[in-house]
Amino acid sequence: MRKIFMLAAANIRKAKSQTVSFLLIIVISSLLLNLGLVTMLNYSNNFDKKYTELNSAHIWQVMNNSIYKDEYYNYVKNLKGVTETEKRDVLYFKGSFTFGKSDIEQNIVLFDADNKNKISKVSYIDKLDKLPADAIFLPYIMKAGGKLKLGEHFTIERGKTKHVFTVAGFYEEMNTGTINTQLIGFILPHNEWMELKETTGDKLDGTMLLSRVNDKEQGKRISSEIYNHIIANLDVQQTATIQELDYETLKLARTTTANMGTSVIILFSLVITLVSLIVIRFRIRNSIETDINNIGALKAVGYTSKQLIKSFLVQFSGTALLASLFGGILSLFALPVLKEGYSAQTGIIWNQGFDAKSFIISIAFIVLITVLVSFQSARKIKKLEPITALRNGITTHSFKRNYLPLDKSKGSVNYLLSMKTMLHNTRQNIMIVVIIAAICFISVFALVIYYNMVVNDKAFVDVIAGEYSNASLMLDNDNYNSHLIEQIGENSQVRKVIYYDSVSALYNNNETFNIYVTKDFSVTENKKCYDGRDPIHDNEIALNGYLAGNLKKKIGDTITVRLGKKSSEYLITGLMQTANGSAYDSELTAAGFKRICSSYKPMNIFVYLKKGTNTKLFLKDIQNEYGNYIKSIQNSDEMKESMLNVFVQIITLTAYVIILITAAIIALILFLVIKTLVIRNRQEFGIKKAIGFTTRQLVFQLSLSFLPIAALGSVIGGVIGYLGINPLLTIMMRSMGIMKMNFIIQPVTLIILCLAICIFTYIVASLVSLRIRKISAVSLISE
Amino acid sequence: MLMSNVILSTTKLCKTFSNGGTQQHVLKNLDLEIFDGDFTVIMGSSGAGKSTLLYALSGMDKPTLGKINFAGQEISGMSNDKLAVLRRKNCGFVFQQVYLLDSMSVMDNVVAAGLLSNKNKKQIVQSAEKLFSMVELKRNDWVKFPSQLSGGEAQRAGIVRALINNPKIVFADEPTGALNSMYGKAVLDVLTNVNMNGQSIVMVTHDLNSARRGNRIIYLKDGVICGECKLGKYVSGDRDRHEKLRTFLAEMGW
Ligand SMILES: Nc1ncnc2c1ncn2[C@@H]1O[C@H](COP(=O)(O)OP(=O)(O)O)[C@@H](O)[C@H]1O
Ligand SMILES: [Mg+2]
Repeated sequence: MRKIFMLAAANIRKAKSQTVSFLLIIVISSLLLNLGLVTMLNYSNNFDKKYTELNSAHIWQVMNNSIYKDEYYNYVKNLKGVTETEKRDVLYFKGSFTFGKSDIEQNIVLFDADNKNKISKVSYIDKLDKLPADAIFLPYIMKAGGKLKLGEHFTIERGKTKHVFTVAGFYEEMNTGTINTQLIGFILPHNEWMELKETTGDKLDGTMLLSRVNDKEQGKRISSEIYNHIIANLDVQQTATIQELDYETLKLARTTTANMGTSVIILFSLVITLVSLIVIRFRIRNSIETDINNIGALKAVGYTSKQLIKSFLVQFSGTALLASLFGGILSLFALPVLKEGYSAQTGIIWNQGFDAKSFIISIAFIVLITVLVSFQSARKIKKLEPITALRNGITTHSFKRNYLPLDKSKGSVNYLLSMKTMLHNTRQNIMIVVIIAAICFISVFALVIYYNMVVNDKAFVDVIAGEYSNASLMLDNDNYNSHLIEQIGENSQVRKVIYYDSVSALYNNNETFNIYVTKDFSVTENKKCYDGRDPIHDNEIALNGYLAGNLKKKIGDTITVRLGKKSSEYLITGLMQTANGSAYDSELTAAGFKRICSSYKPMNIFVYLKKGTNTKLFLKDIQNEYGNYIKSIQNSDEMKESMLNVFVQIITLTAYVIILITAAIIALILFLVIKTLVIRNRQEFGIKKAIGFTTRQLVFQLSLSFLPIAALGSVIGGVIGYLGINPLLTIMMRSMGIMKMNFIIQPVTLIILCLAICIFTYIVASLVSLRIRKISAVSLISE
Repeated sequence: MLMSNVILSTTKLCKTFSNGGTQQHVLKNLDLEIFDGDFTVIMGSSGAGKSTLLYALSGMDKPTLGKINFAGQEISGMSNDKLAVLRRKNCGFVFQQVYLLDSMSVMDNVVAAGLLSNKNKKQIVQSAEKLFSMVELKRNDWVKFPSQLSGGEAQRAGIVRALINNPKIVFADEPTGALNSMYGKAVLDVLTNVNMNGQSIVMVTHDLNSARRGNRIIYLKDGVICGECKLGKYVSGDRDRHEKLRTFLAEMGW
């Protein structure tokens, strides 16, 4: 056994730099595989784990006490499937606050800190020891995403009233601890809460019903049933103030962006692992082939094949074990970055420490593969007679075709010789093409996501946010002004104004869905239909494709929609995609909606501003001029920015990391390949030098020989990326109601990326092949 | 006697190898002149430093100390790339192990060398064909890979490669060392022929039959020149010449 270790150690010493680059590739892939596995195995459960831990509600409704009746509570409690219900007194209003750099308008619930929650418990993360008089506790997202700190001021604007608080703590809460739904909750210490309740009279008083159900898949249905029951006797304006949500919708809203991030990580780790497998195989095979002489000598002095095979196994699996352990340990340091990124988006802490399962799986996987590949390559040693090995044994190369005969082909000698070199290494070329294609694909993926979320987010916002205007105004029902839209339209900064409402109704007789209502869909900017068209006539409807699929409906079928006691049948003219309201969306024209709601009057005005207009200043003017008619104003630009901002950071980071790792992998692989090539073809280089080729010419020839391969690989990767990214994203996002991702992929960017990969390959190849310099013509003779 | 134009000369040429701490002085203060048009033969026992000398002379290796003058140029201080350019223009090489490039056809081996100093492919192919027929290498051998040739054929192909640039000097390091006598004779005939056409040859050998071809024999022993022997140009079957060489070598202790 000692002999085997000695042999292995000697082999490693002989190929120090190759061993190091081999090590590095395994470190990188083990690092990523660990992160990917940890994410895959644990992150997706995290939400549900927390949910159970905090005994969070599966369905919840909140409304002002002007609407609430105690009968609702009894109704919910006794509903089939509901296991537990809690009624909570809250303060409930529409208000705005600052998140990150922007103002967000939300439905806000203020909880009393002394409330004993049986359902939807709160878990404090940090808390000031001494509470200030104006203390407020905020959900963790305000810290992770909103970058607020303990002791800082936090202002909530409610109409013209400003409430200023001091941040006294952060907590996790599943149902209302997010900015990604229409509802956010904050907690006030009991005395403050009571004081606010008293000073505002009964205006803000509200009730929240929180329930758990025995089958959370049924949550959405049960929630619809409750909502349906509540709104049965209310008018549209009243129902608009009720907020109701369920587990599924919430999970979607809170985890979408993080899921996108995790899928990138998982995809990336898989590709890199694949790449490193190819490299492991290449490295082992070549090392054994170049060692063949040595092997012959060892056999001649009496080493058995078994001993030699074992020494290779020890050498490679030892390195692999070491490297993958190291990568695994590194992943522990990378994990906090990942965790922070995820919680900045979800507002849920991911308490992931060392995960033995992922650690062991990834290391075992890499080592096992290494052992298999080493064994498979080393097996040849058995068949090798010492004497053939000594005579350079199994010819590693048997040349069959003289590609590009110099006397007949056109081109300079340097060019022709480099193409010859290339054509003689088919096996290795295929490997490089596959690797570069895979890596290029991942880079394209990262770039496309980066471009569509950071540089030009239109496509992403289209999908995530639906119809998007720079600002929206909600009309005051008590002081309704039907001419406001025309007045605002006359403003010189305004490009376009439309009514655009989002209302709820029922389909299938008892299930709630969301309906976008506007007069004329042809003037909207977000084309939601990926198949068919938006409704034009009053008997037409467009339906979310995912929902339509569930209902087994297609274009041309009809669907019955009901609101209160009125129902009507509509013809499906289009299938649409939207993510914000999950999959439960539809579109009706204003005339169409009036068939089930004759009292409908448009409540929301979407304002599209001319380029370069400052939305904030514009809205200030509007507020001053028309404030009386407006109940609330939303600066969508700011809102969008704040929602995207946390995301932008992690995407930018991911893009950089991916590009960096891509470069590192290309460099490492070229290093391995060229180093092997130079060692193997020492004699050839020596001869060429002897007959008068300069080092510079040889370096040029060798580097050039990699250029077509890099080009082919990157073009393949680029094309797969170009054609494949949107379908891939669509598959990834299908359950979020996105049926067709339309991320913009700029051919120019692709071309630049491919060029960059080629140039990078060429430069790295040149640098690595500089070691040809060390080969001297005379070394031929002294060998 | 030919016109004594010095084409290559060394002054106090030293070459030292260090092998794991110990210094091995292979060439020791060697002064040597090689004359244009000569067929110079370097003899000596194995390990005497013949090859080392040959490669220093041809600019393939750099001397440790001393100077080398090649056709009026001082080359001992030149960079490797400059030396490469010098070699491709002025030198041809024939090695014992032939050292053709395995990865390409015989013709390509020759053309690749030719293209280094001449861009005119047509011309190169023409002179390659002429040289091939001179060494009596058949047309269907040109497209073969080196590994498909016999030792003698390969060595003749090697000579064609050495000659393709019409070099001033051809350096040959035991060109017949690995060949049987029949193949060896053919190779020597070609070299003799080349020398008759005016090109200089410097050949290392330790074989009497090969040495006979030269008109100047230099004997190397432990890195110094022990003596030299001048003969007339080679004529086959010249007994006197043969005797003279034998006597010389005997004196040298060969
Ligand atoms: N590159 C080298 N490194 C170390 N020692 C060398 C090298 N080249 C030649 N030698 C040593 O120099 C001596 C002379 O070698 P060489 O010139 O090849 O002899 P010859 O050709 O006369 O047989 C030998 O002892 C050889 O071991
Ligand atoms: Mg020798």
